[in-house]
Amino acid sequence: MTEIYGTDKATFEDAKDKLLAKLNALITVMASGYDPKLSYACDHHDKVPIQLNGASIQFASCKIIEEGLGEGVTYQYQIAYSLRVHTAYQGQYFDANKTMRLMNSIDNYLHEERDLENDYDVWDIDDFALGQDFKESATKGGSMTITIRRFQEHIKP
Amino acid sequence: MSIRNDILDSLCTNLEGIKQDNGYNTTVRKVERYPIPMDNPSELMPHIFVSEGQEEKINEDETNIGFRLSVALNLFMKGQSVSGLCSDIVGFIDDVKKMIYGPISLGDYCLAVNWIDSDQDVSEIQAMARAGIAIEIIYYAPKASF
Repeated sequence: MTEIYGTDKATFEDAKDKLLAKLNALITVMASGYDPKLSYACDHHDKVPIQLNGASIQFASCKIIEEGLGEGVTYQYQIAYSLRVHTAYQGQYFDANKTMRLMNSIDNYLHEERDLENDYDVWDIDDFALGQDFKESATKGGSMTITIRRFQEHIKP
Repeated sequence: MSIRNDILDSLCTNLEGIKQDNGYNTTVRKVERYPIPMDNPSELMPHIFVSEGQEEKINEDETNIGFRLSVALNLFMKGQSVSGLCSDIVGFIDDVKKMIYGPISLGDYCLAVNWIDSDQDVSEIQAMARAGIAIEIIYYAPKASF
């Protein structure tokens, strides 16, 4: 079954897949020689269980800016994904420094790997927050927002 | 198959490992998931009765459900003197803490075991001490396992 109408414009899904691919690449990069290291990544927050230390991403919002007119209308999509870093289960010791370091690693890696190919790029990383209690996964950790940009043309009405 | 039963059985097996030979203060003689009579022979003391409390669904995804299971550990021991029992029961409580923060492993489906609280009392007449320990077990089970 086709998941999205307009398969060549599955922008939100494609951006999410590209971000997840980068997190999985970071898991490989951090596999040895890093403490703490990222061990797990998934593409939604409602995941049972989430392996620690893990990261989950989920579409949060999208800002669309009209860029210009050609044969169609070109829009700049600024797609925000919520990224959560999970370092402990509820009720257990929360390591603030470990969580901070993991968020720092993810931030650095995504800045280095901004180009997500096929006209997608990491546009902004912000809204860092520590000490989060994630009910959906019964975990604790930190959160941040990753904004991915893509220019997308739609047919003129 | 019952993941919840497996986890509780594993908890009992771990509690049975509380023995002075293993570096604990107390040597547990009996651990059961049902109430053990109070007139239990002295040779079966100290003992632990593991009782299950409320189970709360805490999260869910396409294939799995996460639960928080409240469990009470009822510790009983006999002694020669009230003063001795007062310190022995504290040692017994500490043994359970030591086991939980070992950390304890209750199988792949168990995600966390958390200490909640404890209380204790000593009976002068029966020369018996009791402690109640509340813990919570966070675990998950595949929907297909029910």
